[in-house]
Amino acid sequence: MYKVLIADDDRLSCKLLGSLLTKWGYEAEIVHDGVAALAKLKQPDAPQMAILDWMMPGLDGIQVIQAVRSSGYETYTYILLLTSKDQKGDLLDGLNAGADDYLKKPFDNDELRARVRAGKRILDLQAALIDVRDNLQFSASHDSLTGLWNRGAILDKLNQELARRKRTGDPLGVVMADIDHFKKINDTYGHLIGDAVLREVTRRLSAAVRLYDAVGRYGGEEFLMIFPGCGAARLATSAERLRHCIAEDPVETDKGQIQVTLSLGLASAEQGEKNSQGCDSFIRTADEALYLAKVNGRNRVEPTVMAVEAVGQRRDSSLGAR
Amino acid sequence: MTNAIIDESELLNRVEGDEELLCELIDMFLAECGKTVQQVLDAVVHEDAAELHRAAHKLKGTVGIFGSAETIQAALALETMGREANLANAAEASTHLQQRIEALRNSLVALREKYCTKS
Repeated sequence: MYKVLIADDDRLSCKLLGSLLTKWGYEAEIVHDGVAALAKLKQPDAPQMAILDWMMPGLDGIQVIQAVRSSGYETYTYILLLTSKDQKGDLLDGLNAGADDYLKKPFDNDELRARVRAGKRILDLQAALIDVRDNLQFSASHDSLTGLWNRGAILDKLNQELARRKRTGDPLGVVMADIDHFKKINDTYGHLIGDAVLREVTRRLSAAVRLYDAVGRYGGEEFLMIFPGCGAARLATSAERLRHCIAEDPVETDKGQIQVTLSLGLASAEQGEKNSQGCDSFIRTADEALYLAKVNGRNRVEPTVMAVEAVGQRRDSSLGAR
Repeated sequence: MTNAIIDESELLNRVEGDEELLCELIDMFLAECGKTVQQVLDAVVHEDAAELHRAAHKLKGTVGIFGSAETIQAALALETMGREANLANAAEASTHLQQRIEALRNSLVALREKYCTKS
């Protein structure tokens, strides 16, 4: 139900307005001065529509409007200014201060109802636009198949965590994981089943990490995961838990059970470690360890590889073998 | 008698036929208008233009609910005097207002008899 704030120092006016709005299906909140009105409009769950009397003790209607408009609240407050003044200049003052509409007292019921409804249309439109914006924000940063952070977003997260650890010196762990023989699953069962496997792996990984860890879809069947506060030892434990949560039970699909395994490569920085690696270097290190996990038999966790030069080349020439 | 001051059908329209609401409004008015009228009178006596402006304005709003044009006019006259800080005719105007309010009161009491007997 729409909440409407009524601010008027005249109790009869408030009573009549409040009763009418309630009859028309709105939820009326009533205050009797401008200070109380502003406080109500600043609350987290504030009414989005306000009917303000012009002349009130404390702050008058215009001052309340100016305060609301200058504060830049997240959502728009639709404000109807109630006035018995009817000189043209006064109305312009009201509208210029930021009122959306006005109504002269004593008001005509039909007119009031129509004007409140017009305000509701604007607010409905705003709500729809905010919905669209939120959806766009979500789809710009999330993978549509799995709902995980997409590649751009998970890299942003990694950069944020690296910036944070530069300041705090906290450990940081990164896991690059890849579903073993995923191409074979697609070829054997079709892409729909492949998608179902990706979603189930996503579900298990998301359930296995902590709330403040981040899981992203880095590529087709490749996942990048960030573990704030985890150095090499704790990261290895977490990664082993991730490997196990995929390997322990087959994935149920429409075409029967499919055994799925994960290979994982790790990269980490310890508490206070000074030569803080950059984003690229973290990714490369984890990627190389992942390559080794593949070479060493898959379904396994491979810690950071120390000698990296030769590995990089090998990986490039064997990408197809995954 | 009642119709001379108040348009009864207009008033019922205004509360959308809700007699209970009508009675509440009448009771509120009867309980409160005396105080506001007194504020207007005091402001005139003390030649306090700002206070006259405020109190007459408020009274005008309250009276407006009952759609009594002549009474609204009487309050508006005092409100204007207050705003323009021209109180030369304020005493006379406030006497007139008092009479109008008294008439309105009587009409509302009569209306109350008609619609609000249950309570």
